[in-house]
This record gives sequence, C-alpha cells and structure tokens, in this order.
Amino acid sequence: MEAFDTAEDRAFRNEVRAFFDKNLPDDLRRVMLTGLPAGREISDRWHKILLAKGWAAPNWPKEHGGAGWSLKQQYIFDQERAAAWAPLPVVFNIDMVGPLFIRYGTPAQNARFLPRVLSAEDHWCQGFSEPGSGSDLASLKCRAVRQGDRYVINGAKLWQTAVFESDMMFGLFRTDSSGKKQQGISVLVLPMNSKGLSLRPVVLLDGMERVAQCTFEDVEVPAENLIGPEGQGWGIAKYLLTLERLGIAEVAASRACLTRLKALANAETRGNEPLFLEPTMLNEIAALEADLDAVEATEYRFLFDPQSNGELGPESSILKIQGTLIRQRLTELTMRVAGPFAQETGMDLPSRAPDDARSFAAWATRHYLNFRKISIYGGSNEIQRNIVAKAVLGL
Amino acid sequence: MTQQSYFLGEDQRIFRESLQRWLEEHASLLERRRLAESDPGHSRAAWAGLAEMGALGAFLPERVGGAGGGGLELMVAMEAFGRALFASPYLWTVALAGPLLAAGGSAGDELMGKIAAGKAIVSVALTEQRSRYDLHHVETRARRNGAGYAISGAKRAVAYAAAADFLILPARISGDARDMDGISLFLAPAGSKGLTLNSHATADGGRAADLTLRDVELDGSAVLGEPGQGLALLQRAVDLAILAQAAQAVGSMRKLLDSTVAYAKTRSQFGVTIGSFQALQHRMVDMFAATEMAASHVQAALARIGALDAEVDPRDAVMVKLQVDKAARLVGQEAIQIHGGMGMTDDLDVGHHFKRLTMMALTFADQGKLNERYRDLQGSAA
Repeated sequence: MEAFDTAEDRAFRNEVRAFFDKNLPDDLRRVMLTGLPAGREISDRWHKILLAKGWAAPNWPKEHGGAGWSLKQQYIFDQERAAAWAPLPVVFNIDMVGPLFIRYGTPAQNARFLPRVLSAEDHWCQGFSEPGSGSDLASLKCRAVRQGDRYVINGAKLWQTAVFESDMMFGLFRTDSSGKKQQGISVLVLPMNSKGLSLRPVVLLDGMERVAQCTFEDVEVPAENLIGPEGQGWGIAKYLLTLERLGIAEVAASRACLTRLKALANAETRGNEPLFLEPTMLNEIAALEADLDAVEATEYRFLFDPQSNGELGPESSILKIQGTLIRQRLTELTMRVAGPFAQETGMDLPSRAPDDARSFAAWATRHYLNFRKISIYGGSNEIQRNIVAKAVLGL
Repeated sequence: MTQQSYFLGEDQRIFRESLQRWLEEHASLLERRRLAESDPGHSRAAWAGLAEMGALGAFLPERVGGAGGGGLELMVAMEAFGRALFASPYLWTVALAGPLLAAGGSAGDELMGKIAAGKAIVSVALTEQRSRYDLHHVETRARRNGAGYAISGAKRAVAYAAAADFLILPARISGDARDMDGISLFLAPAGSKGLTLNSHATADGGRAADLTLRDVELDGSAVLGEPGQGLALLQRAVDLAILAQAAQAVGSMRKLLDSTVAYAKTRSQFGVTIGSFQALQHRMVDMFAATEMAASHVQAALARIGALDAEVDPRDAVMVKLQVDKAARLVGQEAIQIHGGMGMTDDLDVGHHFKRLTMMALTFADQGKLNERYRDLQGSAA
C-alpha cells in the first residue's frame, strides 16, 4: 500500500528505513532471522537504541515519553520494522501497560510505574487467562479480597507469556462475585517476587517457549496498586484489546516472511529447477501472496478510512482471523520448502549464515509449531467469528 | 508522480449514489431473464439512459466527451452493475475495448466519442478454438490485400458480439500460431462482408457469439496500435478488464451476503431462525470476510489507475483475480447452500449472481493461467 503514501509519509518512511539500516545490529537481526527465542538481553539492547532515538513507544503521547506519532506513522514504522527483521518492542510494556496507565493510572501511580515501563527496567507480563477461563475470560475466578489497605489474592493464572523474564504483572482479578460475571473484575499490578506467588513452567509444542501457570496463595498487594475503579476491570481489558488495532493482522511480518520464503524456494533446487517452479509449490505461494495483498488492503481500508475517524469497529475481527490464517499457512509452506531439513530443531544454528536454507528450516518448523497458538490466543478465531456474526451481521 | 488516494472522493460517492438509484429503476431480474433470450441481450433504451447520466463516459477521456475519470470511477460503475445484475456490454465496450481504442488515433477517438454518447457498442474477440487463455495464440490470419488486409479465421465466445457495432479482431500478420510478435488488432464494423455470427445465450444470462471470418476486407487504418505489436496492448486492456470484472464480482458478492444474512434471519426451522445456528453464523462470517478482502483488494488496484490509458500493473491483475475468483466461489456456493431449496430456484436473484460469479472465474484467465503469469512476473518485479 506504499503506492498511497503522501509525500510526507514517504519522507517519514525513508527516515525510518534509514534508521533501521544504520542502527540494527547484525547479530540482533540474525537472531530474528533464525527465529530462536530473543530473550531479555536482546530485547533490552534494542530497546535502548530505540529509547535513545525517542522511538521506544510509538503509540504513547509525547508527554509520557512516547513518540507521539499519528496512526499512519505508527503503521509505517511497524511495516519498516518487520521488513528490516528488527525485534518487536517490549510488547506488554509498550502496547498494553503504558496505555493502561496513561488512560487509567493516577498521577501518583504514573510517576511510580511509568518511567520504568518506558525504560523497560521492569519487564511486564499479563495475568488474564485461567485454567477454567479461556475463551470465556469473564468467568475468571482468581480472587482478590480487600483487607484493610491491601488485597489478598488466591487462585491461578495460566498461559502467561514471558513470565520467567518479567518483574511485574498486570492482571484481572475477581473482587466481587455477587453480580454478572463481567462485573466485579478489577485490575491489579504486582511484583513477580511477591510472597505466595509460585510459577510452574509449561513447555509449548516448539520445545522452546515456556509459558507459566501461576499460583497465588495469600499474595498480598497494596490497595494503591488497583488501576482504575474497583469492579471496572472488564471495561479496561476491553479497552486494551481495542488498542491492538495496529498489527492485529501482522501483515508486515507476513510480508517479510513471504519475501524470504520466495527467495529460499528459488535458491533450493529440485532436479535442475528452482523448487519455486514445482507446480504445487507455485500454486500455493501465488494464492498466499494474493490473499496477503487482500488482507493488507483491508487493513489499510479499515485503519485509514476518512469516514471512520480512525476507530476500528467489530469488523476488524476478520483481520485477526485472516491474518493468523495467512501466518500459519506461511510457516507451513516454509516448512515444506525446508523439506528434509525441517526436522532440525535449530538449537545449534546461530553459528550458521541466517539465510542458509537449513537455518531457515529451523525458523520454519519452530514457528509452524508455535504459531498454532495465534489462532487461539487474543480471542480465538471462533470467538472472533461470534463477534462479527453478532455485531456486524446482526445474527 | 501524482498522489493517488485509496478512498473515494466526494464526486465519486455522488456518482455511486446516482448510479445506484438509476439501476434500482432500470434493472430487474425479470428484465434480465427476458433480455438473455434473444439478441442483442441488453436494453438499448437502458444503454442510452446510461449515456445520458454520464456513466458511459465516466471513465473515458475528456477529449472524446468523457469525464476523464480513473479506476475508482470504473470500480464504482462495475460494482453497481454487479449488485444490480445489470445485463450490458459495459465491461467489454468500456473496460476492454476502451484502452485499445485509446491507442487507435483519431479513428479510435471518434468511436470512443460515440461510446460516451451511447451510440456505439464494441466487443473484443479474445478467444479461438485452441487458444484457451493465451492471448498470443492467434491462428486467425490477416494477409495483405492491396493497401489493406483480408482476414480469415474463427473466433469463439465473443461476448455481446451481436450487440456490437464494431468488433476488435486480433489477427496474425506474420509468424506461427503461438508467436508473441506478428499480432495486429483490427477494428472491424459489425456488418463487414465475410463476417458471420452464430449467437447464443450464455449460462450466466448474457449473450455471446462465435465468429467466422472469410476474407473480411479492412483497410490499413483499421489497425489499432502498432501493426504486429498488438499483444502488449491487448494484455494491458485485458488486465484492466480483469480488474473491472473483479469490481463487478464484488457487487454480486455483497448482494449475495446481504440476501443470505437476511434469509437466515427470517427462515425458521426447528422453531428458531436458522441464523441462530453457530454452524451457519460462522460460515456467513467467512462469506463476509471473503467479500471485504475482495473489495479492499480490487479498490487498491483500481485506485492506482489514474485514467483509461494509464499503466496497469500486471501483478495487480494477477493477484486480484486469483484472490477474487476464490472468494467469489466461496460466497456463491455458500449463498446457495444456506438458502437451501430456495437457493436452487430461478425465482431468486441468488442463483443468477452465483452463475455470473461462476462464469467470471472462467473469463480472461483461469487459475492455471494466473499461476503461469505469476511465475513469469517474478523476474521483473519483487
């Protein structure tokens, strides 16, 4: 959709592209290309580079240390980031916790927490899902009972990402169970080293990513760690989810992966011909590219339609559905390009050239396995269809 | 490079509204059925009406009396025609023949002027018995005949040929049947001596004809573009027509989705409306997604085309047709299935949209041809 850049957009795009070109360290890009878990050291190092430039928080207003960019600028930045294979921002800090405080935090809370959210001195994780509450998130049971100047939490959280490298958690807790399930949910923040909080790792299909089951036994949290009014957590959570409008379809990441997939399919040979020309391969790559173009155009239309004032409606759920399906097809197809090398786990691969087919094979298999999750988390694709059926089609 | 906008401007929205209103009065299923029964397969009165309201000239250049619009005007018109199931040779005359005539000097301009005024219909003979979708496969021969040419051969399935005042005939002035060079595009009056038509109804409510050419005599000025170099010009015109047809498909898909959702809300079985079943809800959401993806995609491609004779990125045509054909198949088939027995009847417009969408996927290029073009484009573009 670069064809529709204004002169101003193009200037900004060139500035961002030049920045990535000059400032993204080789070893960092290589880790991204081989797809091994980035780890905190990598993301901290990259974050410092962005901080120094003032670009660490593209979506935050300037007065809180953000870049203060327009939606279009954020969109362009993310496209160029993905194309350069630069790491994602410190996701929960920048995309969720910052906006949470900026919208709902008191001045005292913001002064205490926000600087360390921006600097990523603290890494944050999220406490939403529970063993009994997945798609039906509002049914969550992990209780926080007010006792004087503190809340006492008992219960469990599950599927938490990046927990083992996190210092702080923001979570949804049940403070009242007398009304409707959406009422009586509150947002609390707490340190991960709180007494009574224990973690059990859950290893995912790729054998590398570890998420956590988190158990709370009389965990005490000061009452001043309540964000927003007590009992209003469901509305706050829904607000945070609407912020995911950018990147919900992960178009830019898919575009970068497709470009690389095609290069590899051309480099690999089958007999005397590039693998790319094998008819079933060509057929699938062509269909995938066509679908990706269509999702990209749809994302653009939904985001920038002058009639919609930059607000994404419930129809944007189809971006999540189509975007995740495309990402999954991409990893599956890349695994096919890897062929006999797809079985390698890639643990020993950082020493190899990142564009080597065998390095890429490790990326492919790991992501094929790991990306089964993307149509499940953040509201499964079935939940997204329920939303569209009800809110858009009126069924 | 001029700045192009993805989104419709005020004028384009007004054009859409007035065209939609006009179509509500002038297009009906009853009329469509009647028209398909015999030549010319469309209503001359409606065609004149389209000219009067400026729809025929919307995309034609100002120098011939058109409004000089761009791809978005073409999109608005085609999508509205699709939604209304409007039977007309617009696609062939404006989107396909238009760019060929624009390369045809003063003769081309004169004819475009007549098109804008509603006084001429033009079709293009793309297909031969053995060509399938290969535009370069031309067995029809044009041999030198004094200062002009005599054309002999056969063309198949030429849309609205019997309605046309002029036909554009690709014919070979040199080389073998599948050579890229040596193809000229001839502009032939419909009544030319030696040109005979065998007209038939099409499966999707249109009309088409097979042409037999026996020494059809044309003079040298009848050639559009460079003699022997017609292929590139023809390909560009077909790519524009592919995008225009895709916009028409979007109109049909949007109507099918609306009809299907409305039907599911009223049709009751087992004591509840069938729209309350999650199994059907999710399928209608997938229809919605396919339709919206197609609509955005078509718009992205057509918004980049500033005028009738502007460049058309072949990659856009290939990508859009691959995706829209697939989306149209899903939406069409699901619309019939969810309408149940009623979807099988000729009484509802559902089946008519379904048939139109089905035939569109087999017009200009099929999946195999598109894959081949995708492969060939890899060298030239990233």
